[in-house]
Amino acid sequence: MSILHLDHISYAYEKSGTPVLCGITADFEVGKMYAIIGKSGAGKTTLLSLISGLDVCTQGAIFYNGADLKSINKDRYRAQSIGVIFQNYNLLLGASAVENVVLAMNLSGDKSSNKKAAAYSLLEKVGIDRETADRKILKLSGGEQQRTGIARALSHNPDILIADEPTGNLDERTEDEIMALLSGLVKNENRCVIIVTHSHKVASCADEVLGLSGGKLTTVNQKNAANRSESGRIQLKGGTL
Amino acid sequence: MYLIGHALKNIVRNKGWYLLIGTVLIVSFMSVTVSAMIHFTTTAVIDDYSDRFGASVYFTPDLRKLLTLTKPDENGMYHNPEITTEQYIVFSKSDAVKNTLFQGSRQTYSDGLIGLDQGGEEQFYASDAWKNFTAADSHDAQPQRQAPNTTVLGYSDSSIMEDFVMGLRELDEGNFFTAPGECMVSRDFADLNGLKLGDSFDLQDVNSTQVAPLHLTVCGIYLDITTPQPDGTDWAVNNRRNEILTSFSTLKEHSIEGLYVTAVYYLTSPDLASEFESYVRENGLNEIYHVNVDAASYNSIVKPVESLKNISTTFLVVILLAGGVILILLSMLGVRERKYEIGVLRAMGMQKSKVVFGLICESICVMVLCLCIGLGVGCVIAQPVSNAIMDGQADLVEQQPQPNFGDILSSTVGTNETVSALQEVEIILAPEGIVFIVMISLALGLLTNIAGIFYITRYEPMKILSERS
Repeated sequence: MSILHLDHISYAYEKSGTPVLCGITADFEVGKMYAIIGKSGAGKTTLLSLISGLDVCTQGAIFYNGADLKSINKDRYRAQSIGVIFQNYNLLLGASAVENVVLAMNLSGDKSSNKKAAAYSLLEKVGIDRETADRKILKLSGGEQQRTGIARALSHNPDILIADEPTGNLDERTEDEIMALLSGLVKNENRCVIIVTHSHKVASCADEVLGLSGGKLTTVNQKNAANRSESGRIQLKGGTL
Repeated sequence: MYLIGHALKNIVRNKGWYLLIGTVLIVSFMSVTVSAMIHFTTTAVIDDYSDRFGASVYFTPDLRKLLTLTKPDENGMYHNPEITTEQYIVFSKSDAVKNTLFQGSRQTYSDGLIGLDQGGEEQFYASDAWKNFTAADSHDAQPQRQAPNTTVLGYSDSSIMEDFVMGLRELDEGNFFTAPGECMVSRDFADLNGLKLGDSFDLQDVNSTQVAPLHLTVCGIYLDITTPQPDGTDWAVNNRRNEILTSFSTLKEHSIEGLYVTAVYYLTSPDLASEFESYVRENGLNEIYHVNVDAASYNSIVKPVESLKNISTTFLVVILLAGGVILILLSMLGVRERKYEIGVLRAMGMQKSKVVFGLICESICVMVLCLCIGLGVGCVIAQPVSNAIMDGQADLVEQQPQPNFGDILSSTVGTNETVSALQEVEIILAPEGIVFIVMISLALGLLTNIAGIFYITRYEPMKILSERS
């Protein structure tokens, strides 16, 4: 079942007018993990920004559960329906890890009284212990900040989880744990997860791999059939990743 | 509720920036408090002074006109044209006059009373010297003059009873005169004549036999602490202790004939001098007289306060402008970090209004804290600051040349008390002052996050985050 539909969306930079995305049409369904791959500068992060309602496409429309994003309250959409794991974390630097997660819960309208306990639990799931959770973001390592960002994105149980290089700063073991967590969300909780990645390992976990090149989004491969070259790199129309 | 909690935590998280902002705010609020307190107090003092006193007016003869417009008498003496008692009273009815202080005097005689030093005058009036003097002065035969043994002084206001103000006389027994016909006599005069409170006596005007006797009742006995200065004449009229004090209205109601009157008029404002002069000229004031407005006296009292008010107002404006500019600059400098935070909050789905609310909460919390400190310190230092400025302004005014008025009711009459009061303006925090300070504080407080609010309302979160990146 399609929860997100991209209908011929295009995007060009406001100042230069350079087109980044050209008439992309795609459907994203619940219960599936999608990996978007592409060269640096191909527009992957821009596409995620449009999907997460942080930016507005210049042409076309994005539909969430059949409703045009332009017509719905984007603040509520971001706070309740979608979780975003940013490439550069975008955490509140002066606040602690747990405060970041609790604030996201508050913004989503979570009325539960034990939000802090839930936040600690969630952080523990992504590998942040209680002591680390109480530290200011600035005192955490890149990997710990990444995990905090993941915990924050998961804190309000969003229908769609968008992740921009979610495991880029994590070690292999934590990467496996995070991917297992995201896979669990897809399988057990029927969520839709969209990941932008350069990692073969992450892409191989996806049900569908989409390639972004020349402003176009194409299906590279379905589950367990990633189109690989002899060198093991994923093949795109415009070259290899 | 979490927004307020978040705002409070944000203050702690951004304590470095808020410490800087707080310092500027405390200095600004302190200065605003001092300026506002001085401004509102001085305004009230000036209004009160204007309401109560205004500028005094005196009539002084122009000697040049006196010499050219009048002729000397047989002895070559020039005499000022008379300003009658009726004229003095009519002049007080001008619309420009706020208040008039009258003093009247009448030389009297009583068969039933003995004046201190009485006797010398009778001998003089019976002497050949007096007869020769009157014969030279007039060709008509002069009746023998009745020597006065008392002088009745009437005052329209107790503030012009200078001897009491200066402490040369004090009430020894009874009360000051209030009702018509009541009077005060000196302790020595009362003892000499066996007078006590409630006793009555009649006094006859020595200059006008047409005037009916003045009936007075003793309501008070005063003590004159001055040392008698014998002049060798032993005249009762020269002895201060023979003065009987009563109200001006008692003298006026009895009769204005033979009554010697002086008056000081207090105008609503020095600007009404020309209106007052037109009025008195229309009512017969001789052109020989100058109408002098004691603007200098008025200014000597009000000027320091006005200067204080002007200084405080200028200071207030400068502080507001400087404080406002500094806060906006700090806000623009601080927005770099706040911009990132705002971008994150917006990316997380916080509505613009909630972000603005959070920033305003932060501003208000910091503002309230700084206001308490600034208000407290301002209240403490307002009085010393005011005193220091007042001293400086009073010195400046004192250094300026002052005109000298020779009238019996000099410029000090009725104003000495006020001069003293204005030199010690008691700075208070009036309710309107508090409202003003709070409003200014709110405005300055909002400036602390104005740049942040600008970014929130203008840009989308991705734009803010990408700018920061």
